[in-house]
Amino acid sequence: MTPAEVRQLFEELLDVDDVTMEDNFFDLGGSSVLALRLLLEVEKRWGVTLSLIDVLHNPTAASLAQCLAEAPSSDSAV
Amino acid sequence: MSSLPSISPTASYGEAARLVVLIGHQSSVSPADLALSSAGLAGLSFLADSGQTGEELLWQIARGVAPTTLVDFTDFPACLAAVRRAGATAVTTFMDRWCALAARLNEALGADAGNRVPWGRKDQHRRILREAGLSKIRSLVPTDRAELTGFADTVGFPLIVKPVDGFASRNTWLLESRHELEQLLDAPDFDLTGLYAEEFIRSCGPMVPGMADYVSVEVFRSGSAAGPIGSTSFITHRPPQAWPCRETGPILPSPLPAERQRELIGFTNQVLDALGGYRGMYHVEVKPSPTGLEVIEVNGRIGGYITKAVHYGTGHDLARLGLASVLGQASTLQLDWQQCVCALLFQAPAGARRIVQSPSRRELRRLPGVIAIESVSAAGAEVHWRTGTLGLVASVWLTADDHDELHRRIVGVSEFLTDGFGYVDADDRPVRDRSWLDQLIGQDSNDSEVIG
Repeated sequence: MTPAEVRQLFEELLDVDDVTMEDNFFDLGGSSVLALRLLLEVEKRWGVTLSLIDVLHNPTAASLAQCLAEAPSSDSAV
Repeated sequence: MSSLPSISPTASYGEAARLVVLIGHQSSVSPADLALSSAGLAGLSFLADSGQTGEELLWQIARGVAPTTLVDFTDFPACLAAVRRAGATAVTTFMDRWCALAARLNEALGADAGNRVPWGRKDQHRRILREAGLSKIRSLVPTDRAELTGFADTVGFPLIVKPVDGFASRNTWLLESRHELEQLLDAPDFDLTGLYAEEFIRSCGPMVPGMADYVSVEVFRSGSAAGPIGSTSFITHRPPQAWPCRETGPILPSPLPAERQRELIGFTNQVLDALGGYRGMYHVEVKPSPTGLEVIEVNGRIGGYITKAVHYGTGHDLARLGLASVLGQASTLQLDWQQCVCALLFQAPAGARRIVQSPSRRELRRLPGVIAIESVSAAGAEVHWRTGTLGLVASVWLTADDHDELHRRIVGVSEFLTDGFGYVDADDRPVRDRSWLDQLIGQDSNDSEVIG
């Protein structure tokens, strides 16, 4: 996955079309419930399981993409 | 823009403190935000009411950020055992509904600091304030129809009828005449149980052009009944209310002169002293009337949307200040406003019962000043004024460099939403009502009542 793909996911979930790499998901109207949907979409699209805390601490497309890049994929988990 | 005094130092628990927060839907700060705000200040646990339906998703979110226990909130011994198991230093909540329970738990833990506000009994608040000479408003908990009509004959109209433990303007009636009162009493689903009646607080008109005729004062107190009472406070404005009593969102910072702000804050502190609120967070609605300042109501939590408004406008973490005050900790908060902020809580017309047309969220996002959209209700959604402020059909965040520009942007977004939403009434007839928008544009007097 690329930061641009994460940004596109933000735009889909928030239903807006001008998210930047450094925009905070929660500052754009993202709620905890939307964050849970974000986690589900991340797992579905890229096979990576993140926690809600991961999203809270990495609320931008750029930082979440970095977090995703460093996380083990769900497929590799035993 | 404006800045605030800091609260004075009192006891400090350090990071050994553990806070238990009673959670549920319609909390003014979310569990996720609380998890971030409490970091380095106190350990955090959540207690949720197992008797609530439809809160499973909230519980899942809470469990994702902190230890969370489900307990029957009507079973006080079980609640106390749960907070003791969690090692609670103190208990708090960001919901009106659970303030009384949080206060009782703190008393049992010896963490109440002498607080004695009778939460969930707005009728008692009024009685205490009248006895303290801080209110002239007459009220009554009627036992029957005759008592209520007799009270109305004495105090006149408009008359407010609302629940003693209500929140967010739910089931609040603003009655303009004896005929309206009789209509209400004759309604087949009307029940006087748990309601009280209050004389309407007369208005002095908008406190600031384009805004409502009342303000809220957010107060953070870290003292105890034995004193001293460290306190910091600030004032929040709103656009005019939607009939009958629905709020339309906070506007920050206050454009009032410093002297007027000090007067309002001083009055609010007198009110809290009289009610016995020495430690914690308080959201107090104050309305200037021809006979002096009057309290509309007092709530034991941060006002809805205020935490985020302060975050957008200053970058500060208000929830953290709230948690620190519950612990009796000293905190300094200097709010240097970088921009004006409004959470526009757009309400459907009072006659609307269903949405048949909804505006484009993406077009809304492109309007000047819009920085975030929390919700836009879809076509097909049911609406009813009796659901109060939380029955809003759109929630939009706006910012601007000054209050005049912010007002223009609020008007612009409100026009867009007024035109973009379509409604029908209970008989499926179209509803078009621009009266609130006209009031906003015309800066008319907002002769109405708010119930938190």
